[in-house]
Amino acid sequence: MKRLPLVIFFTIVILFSCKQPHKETTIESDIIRTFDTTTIEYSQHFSIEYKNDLKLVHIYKDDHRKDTLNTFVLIRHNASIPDEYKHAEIIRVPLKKIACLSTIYVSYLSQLQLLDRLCAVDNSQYIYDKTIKEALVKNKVSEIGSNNSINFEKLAALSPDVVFTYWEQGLSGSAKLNELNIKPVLVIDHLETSPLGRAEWIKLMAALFNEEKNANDFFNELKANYLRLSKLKDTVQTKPSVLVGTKLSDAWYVPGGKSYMAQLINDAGGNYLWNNDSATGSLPLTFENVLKQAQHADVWLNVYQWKKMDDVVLDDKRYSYFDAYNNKNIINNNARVNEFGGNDFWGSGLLQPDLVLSDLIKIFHPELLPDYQLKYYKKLE
Amino acid sequence: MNNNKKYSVYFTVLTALCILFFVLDILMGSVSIAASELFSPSNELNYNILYNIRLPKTITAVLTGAGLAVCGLQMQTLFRNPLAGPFVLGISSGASLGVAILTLAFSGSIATLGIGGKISFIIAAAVGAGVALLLVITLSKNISNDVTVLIIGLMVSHLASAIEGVLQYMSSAESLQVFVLWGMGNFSNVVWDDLFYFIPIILVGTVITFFFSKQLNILLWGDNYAKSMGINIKQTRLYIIMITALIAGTITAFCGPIAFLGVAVPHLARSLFKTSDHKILIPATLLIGIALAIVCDIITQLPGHNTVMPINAITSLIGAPIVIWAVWKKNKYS
Repeated sequence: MKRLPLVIFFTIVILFSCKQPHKETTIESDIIRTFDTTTIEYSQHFSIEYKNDLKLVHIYKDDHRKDTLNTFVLIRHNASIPDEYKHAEIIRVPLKKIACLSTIYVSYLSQLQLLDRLCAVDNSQYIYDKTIKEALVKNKVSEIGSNNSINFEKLAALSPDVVFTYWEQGLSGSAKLNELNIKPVLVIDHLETSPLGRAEWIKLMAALFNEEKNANDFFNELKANYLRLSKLKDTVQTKPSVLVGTKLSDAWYVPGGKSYMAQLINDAGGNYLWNNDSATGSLPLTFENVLKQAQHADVWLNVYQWKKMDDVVLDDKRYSYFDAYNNKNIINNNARVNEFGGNDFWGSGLLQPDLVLSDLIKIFHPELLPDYQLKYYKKLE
Repeated sequence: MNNNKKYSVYFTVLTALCILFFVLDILMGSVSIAASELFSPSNELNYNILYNIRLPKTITAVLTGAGLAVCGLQMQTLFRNPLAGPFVLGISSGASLGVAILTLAFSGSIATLGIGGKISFIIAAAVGAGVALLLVITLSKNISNDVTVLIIGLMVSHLASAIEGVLQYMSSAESLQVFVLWGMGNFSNVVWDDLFYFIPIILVGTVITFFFSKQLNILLWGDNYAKSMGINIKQTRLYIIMITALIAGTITAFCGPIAFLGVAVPHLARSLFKTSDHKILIPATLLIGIALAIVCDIITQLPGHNTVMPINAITSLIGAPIVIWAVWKKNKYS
């Protein structure tokens, strides 16, 4: 009976260890509380699926949600990974630190009040918003360069959980990031053609931080505003015809009829001159082609660097053949541009399409919004 | 058929082709306009398209084709290397660097620089081209090996491009856009006001080249022969370089870098006329250069297509196979 103490010892150990899993399940049942959820209504390029203790994020290359670019499994930090997802791309949420390689993604964080989680941006020069800039300085956010010039050493030292950036035929540094144990989350927000769909990507950012509720509140208000404003066009009798852009080198890149810009113009009650076209990107047209189509256009929008009417003909005399030039009806989206050329139209404007829409309504039909002041647009002086 | 008769037939045919292509380029475009409109346009739109959009573009193609081809011929003769040309020996890269320093380092834009800006583009491009070529010449002064000279030229090109890259990296989005667009090259941004400077410079440059045909012929035989003929080689080289820098620099300033025309056309001229006499080669290169540049311009805007293709893609697509063919043919027979 020499072994009795040992037997007792093991019995106790076994008893306790039997209790252990039981105890763990009680902890886990605390963990398995359902996530706040969100539904994707407008975006064509991503989806979020909620299963009780994880979220499945799909990102699609095409706009029919068929060609999947990436699938991520979002799971809480101390939850165990179910067997079926052992080999999936796992991201532990909420993220502790994130790097964002485009201004617009910083705007998502700012809107969700998560700027304190941001550890790196591509280049802070192009950020227009002063409060964001101040926050970046205060939080000592680093600059690590854009997609093809990432400073990996700096990034490794910061070791964010995720690098959030745009997909452009892949990311050359993806393998390197995986090696550094940093997940690249490549998004395709820039291919969204619906203004609400593009703003909806804030929900993906929110899902990474379990802040869906916040994102829903923001998006639902945005959506209600946008839909209300876009109904105003039904009351107008005539719609002004609209020309967009200028010649760049050989070609005049005109937004396609199903593009982001075309949708905004139509929703604001404008008659976009390339409405019948089915392209979602832009079309490289010849100058003469644009002249033929748009010489009598009422309004001319988005003219890059032009600030004054004089700039137009200094750039190329032949722009004076357009009626919109002679009627001084050229309105540029450069009201909010900083000294480095960072344009807030492509910053907060993408996240607040209701405000861009209000601008366009004010331009096309000033009587519909008599008290509204233009935010992103400015008439050429 | 003796040579003189053959040459005059060739020159007549080439001139006729140039005129034909010129008219075709004005008549063809993404907007269809009837040929009868050419002399009496029925409305302002057609008048503007024919005379203010297509005509300056076609004239620019003529000047570019003629100028770059002649520059290419001079460089190939001077360096006795079939791969030489404005693009290979650093003139275009030098011109680009000149414009890069103007647009990026001084962060000006076309809009803010105004018309004076266009002249400053020309000056910047010409100075850049001249400096790059002088550097190549100085470095290769005591080198007899053609390949070494070519390598030095390529390296100077790369050096200029590298400095450009650093400047681009450090500059703002706005000025970068001006420079990148300039670097894509095109014939369509030139307006009548620009042609007021452009035509005389190219005209004077090419006319001066004709006076150098004897010297170029002698240079082909080598420096020692040239010396024995009483030619001041250093001075002649410097003059040829200056003319080339002026012509190529001006073209690059107005149209951006245009690839391959300068290298390919002299080969076509030599294989068509089967001569190395510059009295024949210079006008031949000139005419073939004009014809080829206009054809490239026509291809960028094929009728029935609304979209436009970049001119440099077309010139490379046509030019590169010509150079391959010329080098292949030369080696096959030798």
